[in-house]
Amino acid sequence: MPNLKVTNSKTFHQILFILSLMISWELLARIGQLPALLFPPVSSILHELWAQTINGELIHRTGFSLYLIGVGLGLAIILALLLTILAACVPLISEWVQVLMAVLHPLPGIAILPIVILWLGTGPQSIIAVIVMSAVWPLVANLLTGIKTIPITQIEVGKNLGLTGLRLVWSILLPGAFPHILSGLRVGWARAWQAAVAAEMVFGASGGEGGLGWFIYKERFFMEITAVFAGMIVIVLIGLIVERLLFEVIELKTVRRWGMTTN
Amino acid sequence: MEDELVIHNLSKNFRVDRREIQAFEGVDFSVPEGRFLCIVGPSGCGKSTLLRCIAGLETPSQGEITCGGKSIQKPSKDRMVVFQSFEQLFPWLTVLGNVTYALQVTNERKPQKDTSIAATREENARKYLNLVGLTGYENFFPHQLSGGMKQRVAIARALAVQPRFLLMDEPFGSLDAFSRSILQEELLRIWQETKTTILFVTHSIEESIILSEQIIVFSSSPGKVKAIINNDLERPRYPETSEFMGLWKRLNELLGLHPKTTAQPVLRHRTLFDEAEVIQPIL
Amino acid sequence: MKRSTTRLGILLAIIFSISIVNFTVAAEPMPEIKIAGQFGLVYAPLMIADKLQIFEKNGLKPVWKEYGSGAAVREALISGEADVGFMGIPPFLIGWDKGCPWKVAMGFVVVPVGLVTNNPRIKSLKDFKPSDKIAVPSPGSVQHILLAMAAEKELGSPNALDTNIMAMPHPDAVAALISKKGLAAHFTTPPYLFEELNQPGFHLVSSDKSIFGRPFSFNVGVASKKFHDEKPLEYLGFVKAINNSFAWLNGNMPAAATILAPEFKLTPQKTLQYLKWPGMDYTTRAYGLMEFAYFMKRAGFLKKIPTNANEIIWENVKL
Repeated sequence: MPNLKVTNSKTFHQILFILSLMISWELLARIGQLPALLFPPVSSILHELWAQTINGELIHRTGFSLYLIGVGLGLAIILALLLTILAACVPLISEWVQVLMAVLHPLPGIAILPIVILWLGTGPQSIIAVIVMSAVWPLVANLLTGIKTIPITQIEVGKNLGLTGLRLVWSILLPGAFPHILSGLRVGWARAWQAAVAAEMVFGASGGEGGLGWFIYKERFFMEITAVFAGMIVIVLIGLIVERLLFEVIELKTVRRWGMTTN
Repeated sequence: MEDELVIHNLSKNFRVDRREIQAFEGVDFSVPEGRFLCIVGPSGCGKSTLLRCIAGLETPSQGEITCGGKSIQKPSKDRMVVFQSFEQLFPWLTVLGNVTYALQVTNERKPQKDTSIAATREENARKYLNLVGLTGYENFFPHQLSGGMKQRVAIARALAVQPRFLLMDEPFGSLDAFSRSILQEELLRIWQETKTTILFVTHSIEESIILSEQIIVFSSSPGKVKAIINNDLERPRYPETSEFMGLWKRLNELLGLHPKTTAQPVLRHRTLFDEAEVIQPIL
Repeated sequence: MKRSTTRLGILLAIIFSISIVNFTVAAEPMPEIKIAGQFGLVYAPLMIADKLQIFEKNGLKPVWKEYGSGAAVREALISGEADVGFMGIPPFLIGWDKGCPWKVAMGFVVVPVGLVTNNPRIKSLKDFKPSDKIAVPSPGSVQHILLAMAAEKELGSPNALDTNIMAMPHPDAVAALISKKGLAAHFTTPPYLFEELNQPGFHLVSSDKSIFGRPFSFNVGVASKKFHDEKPLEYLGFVKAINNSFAWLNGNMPAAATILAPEFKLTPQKTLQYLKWPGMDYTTRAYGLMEFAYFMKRAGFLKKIPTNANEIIWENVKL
């Protein structure tokens, strides 16, 4: 497929760019132009990354972060679907959802953390609440836009075939809104990550169980600057992997295949 | 006749910006089984709204529509609509998928998981795709098809559920003249093969003459049935014949148009269209 | 508060310098010193120095910067945002261990610290279940290291309470403890320590006395080698101003309480009570440096330790 070829050369150029950045950083650090306390050489960052992976610390932390994000994002998706379906069926609820979204969408999820701690305490449930808050509004916004942009004739064909209520939503509205749902998931995923890392950096771990945010936070206090970089690299890598191996593949198999690209 | 569709004293009003707008009023006619009827009229005469009322997608303000003696309240697979819009296909399903999906949701009594049922369904869908000349395009997605092919799929999907009435709302209105004449011929062939009752809305006088057995002439603001004209010209119908021209002029006069200022029907030659039967997919 | 006083200070300095210019032609501008501190009763001497313009009297124009943790102060020093800073001994040692070219310029206040709970079940460290969260201001803070010391003493391993630790700023931890939301105990310092112990049902599980055995400097003033070597006059001025501030505070407690009360949103009486609380000692002598170093090396928080205290203090420091 021609698409794949373009992606490959894009990937190649990106890798080349990142490599050249890394090499210049390493050289600058080696020549002593950059203070090691602030800019440790790339080689020692990679060494730290390897060491922390081998001892299980990074894997454990990453696993915990992904667990929190998985639960949070899952709840956000369910909540967003419920809200959107209710809004699609009941005009009054649609108005409420619009108002709620207008008020809460611009609010960064992390901003509700002080209140969440008061209500739910300091355990993982608070971080999950912040993740849900961060991810649910972009999901709802995209779902509603997606449903609005479905051609009316497709809905009428559904009705003509005898579909009503939930079956109509499930069989026509959701697949029809899928391109927007996918972009909503992308935004939701990114915001969930930001929320998880930020929340852990504000009130630290929920006990010894902490994710990558806690890892970076903790290493900062012990001035393990290489470990801070290592934690950041893991976050970037996971972001890249999820985008490339999950979202792009889904996009290729659905939206692109169906010719439903929004742009 | 039992399956007769009867439209009795039907009126429809819309409220737009607190103003009542009358789409049509006092419409009376009936569609006997197996017939091909055309409704022709100028844009905005309410003919599409009437068709939507018959489909159950709109509720009339007054009057009644009965099908086989029963009053129509909501959409049903008995009255399948083929719309004008190329977007009426589900883009996430293949050509075959669009047809089998319609069969699947309209046939809920049988268990869905049964593989033999699914196989029969698919076989059935292929039969209708073959009927509209789309064998070989089963696994294409709608965005890979030309406008004419999309309308063919829509016709196949509507026919596959075996409706009593096929309601067609200017289905060829967005096609170029070339594809349009091809599809008109195809539709006639399909009608003769399936014996499905067809109610066809168009604003093209020529199209109504070529297709129908009976023409319901609509006048506008508000829409009213001005005349119901039997059309028993010999098939195939050629615009260059004097009978065709005579009917065409009569319809123009009924609609208050002056034939001098409107376009003459396109003269058509059989051979040209016979060659054009091979359709290239637009990818 | 600091910004407005700084503005006032600048204004006064400008008026003062203009009036000086009239008499002496070659008036030098006052050298600036950027000071990184934190908030709390511990920093009372810095607030006094600010209010009474003690630095100005020693020929220095102070620029005050307030941070949320010792690590943040440390980062301010490393990045050059501050010339001198105040932090706990553990954050100082961690920086020294990692190669920060700096030494202690003074000890900075001995205060009582303690682990407070409102859970009647918890009498000692042994009573903490894995689900009982203990708030400390940050990892690597004095409170965290003291908790690890206590865990080593009472539970046999400095890491025994690692899974219980939770990083939280003092005010949030007080609120969480009072509302009994997810927090079992709080390792804290004045004035939060005093406020919590005034609440019914709150009690100490462990304190500096039982853990450390003898007084230690809660904070140390830290100056980089660059500042110490290249600006010796400013360095001396800094040490002198801090000493003057401590002397004034110790000699004028009631007046100090009146000055400080609005900063802590307390009454002057309450402020005085807190300033004079048993265990509070406003001294610039540096206590406990090597004890912290030995423990932190043993527990794995440091990779190296100084051969003796002189390696980590400037020449003026009294141990």
